[in-house]
Amino acid sequence: MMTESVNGSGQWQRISPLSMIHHLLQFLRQLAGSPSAFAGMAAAGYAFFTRSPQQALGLITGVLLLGLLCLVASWLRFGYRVHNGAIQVRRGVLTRQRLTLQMERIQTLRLEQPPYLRPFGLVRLSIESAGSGAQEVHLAGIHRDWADRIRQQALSHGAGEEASPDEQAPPGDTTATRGETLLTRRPGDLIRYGISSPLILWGALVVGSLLSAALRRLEQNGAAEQQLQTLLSRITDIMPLWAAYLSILCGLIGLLVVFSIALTLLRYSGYRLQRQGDRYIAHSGLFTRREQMLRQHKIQHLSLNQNAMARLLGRRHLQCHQIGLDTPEGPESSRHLTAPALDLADQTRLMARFQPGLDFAQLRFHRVSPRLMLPTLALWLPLWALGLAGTWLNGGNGLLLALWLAALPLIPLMAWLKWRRTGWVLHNGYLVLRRGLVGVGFVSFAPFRAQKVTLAATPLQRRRGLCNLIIGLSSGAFMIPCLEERDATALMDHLLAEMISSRASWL
Amino acid sequence: MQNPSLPPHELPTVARIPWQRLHPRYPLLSLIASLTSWLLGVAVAAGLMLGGVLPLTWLGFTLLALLLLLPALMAWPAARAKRFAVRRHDVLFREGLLWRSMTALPRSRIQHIETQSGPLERAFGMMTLRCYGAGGQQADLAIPGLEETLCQRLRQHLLEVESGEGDYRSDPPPAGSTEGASDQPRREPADDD
Repeated sequence: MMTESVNGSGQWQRISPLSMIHHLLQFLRQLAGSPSAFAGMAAAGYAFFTRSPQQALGLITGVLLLGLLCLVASWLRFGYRVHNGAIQVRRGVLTRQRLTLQMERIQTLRLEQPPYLRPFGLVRLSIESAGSGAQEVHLAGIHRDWADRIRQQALSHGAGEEASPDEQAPPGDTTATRGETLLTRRPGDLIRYGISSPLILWGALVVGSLLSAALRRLEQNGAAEQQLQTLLSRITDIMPLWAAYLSILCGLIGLLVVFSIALTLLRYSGYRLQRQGDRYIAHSGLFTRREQMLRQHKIQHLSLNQNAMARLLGRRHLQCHQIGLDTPEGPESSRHLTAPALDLADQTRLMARFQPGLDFAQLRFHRVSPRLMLPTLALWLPLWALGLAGTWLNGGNGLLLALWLAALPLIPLMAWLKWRRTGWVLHNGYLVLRRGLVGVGFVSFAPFRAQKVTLAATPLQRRRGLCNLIIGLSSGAFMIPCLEERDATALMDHLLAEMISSRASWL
Repeated sequence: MQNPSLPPHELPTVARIPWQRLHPRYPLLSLIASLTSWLLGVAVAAGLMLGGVLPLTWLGFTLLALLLLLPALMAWPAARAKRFAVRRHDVLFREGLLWRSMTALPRSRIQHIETQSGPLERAFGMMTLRCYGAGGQQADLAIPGLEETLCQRLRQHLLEVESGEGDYRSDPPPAGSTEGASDQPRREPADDD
């Protein structure tokens, strides 16, 4: 192991005062990323300024001086050093923090040289441990030579200048086309995916926004509102009111489906999944061609989902998740690779590649305690009773009351279905969890991929000797609820033993 | 090569953990922090009430303040219930009075470690140890109320790269937590409930 310091002595080093520009820019970027906060501040500032310009100027000057003071204090307190094969950072004025990152834990290392650092030969060095974005080390202004030496040390410890997980293959890369094709999707498959995928929620978002904008315009335009009223009265002349509402609802759902299908075709048109060495490459996209790449050993867990609509269509959607939590950054996150609308044969073929030895047909799931049904009943039965009482007190007609009463059996049915669907099984070195209601979803991973395990119990669960087992992976956390305590303890021991004894690369 | 047989009761299990207490003054620190938050909350609420923003009578305000005082006071027993344990290959933390939880994090899964001490913690000579795994932005395990020296040694121990395969069994606590009598936490029986 290399233990000598990059700077020779292992002494704490300051970064350049120009780093304050970086922090200032970051603050402005955050402000711009939160329009509501920005608008609130601007409105308050404007109101204050029109009321008393002198006081407002004084306040602004005070705030600016305070900000500058904070920046300088943070810069004075910030220090870094490379010592004993680790990079250490100390920071914080009131709350002092010290961060130690072992060189061999470094996942990615990025050097950037913004214009304000270039004339001084300084660079910005960003170091990330695997996936822990919030805790990465930012040295926002250090000399180029030192940054290069730190990078060399990190590389000599085997750390990765690994390509990012969602690395893009170079455009026109002909090697990609030489891989073995595992899956292609035709427009028919994609239409099925569009109908049954979570993309329909994005369709709902688009339709909701359009409707909201249209309603706002109607409120502003009296003539248009009048026309709408006339149209509604004409419709009610043709059909009863309930039929009109039902038609509108069906129309809206149809619109959602159309949007979802359109989004799917845009995103997945020409979908082709290939294997090349230990890499899977998914090509897709109608206008923007995407080539998403994922290495076999980077797969943390697989999720196989079949919602109610997908069950009707006989399809399942498979996702390979890698390190990092999914963020709501768009219709499809780049943190997982999706194989859409699989039939049973596709699913079996792909699962055999992604997780060899895991045969879904042979899985016999262990059930959890039937007490899992209690929280569902405890939540929905009082809500149902409140709804019934409200309908009755508001003079609801007989049909409405009958509908409420008819809905009662749905609550225990829902609780029972949820319990029936929940299960877990250890099979051929994989832990598979099942959950669902009308649809069903599976999550499977090798136990050594876990990184922490938590046993948690509510007071009622403890009385019955039950608890929840929460398994944390670098790609997400999964819970097995209402387990017998001895089963949960045994499973926790097994997972810990696998994590500790496994020699396989887990990230 | 030695390969001694292992009786079933010696098999490693989280059911038999030698839990260790946090710093003896941690419950006091926790109570002070909690009561300070409560006082601040009450002061702000009183200001809002006097300003006519909160439509409350003095009786209602007092009842509300007393009601909120209860969870603030619970900080003391909640802090006393917290325990940690360090085995050769993992670190564990247990907390909760009613809603209890126990978390285990293997050393090999720790990506980096952070020590943190706020002004109050510094006044009491304590630190919080935060262990981060991969893929998240939150600490996977945070052990508050550690004596400063112990916290630094624990950090160093957890960061050391594991050498050799080791035997996976109920190991004694590592050197980091047993060296020296002055800062060694008190040991407890396995089940103290």
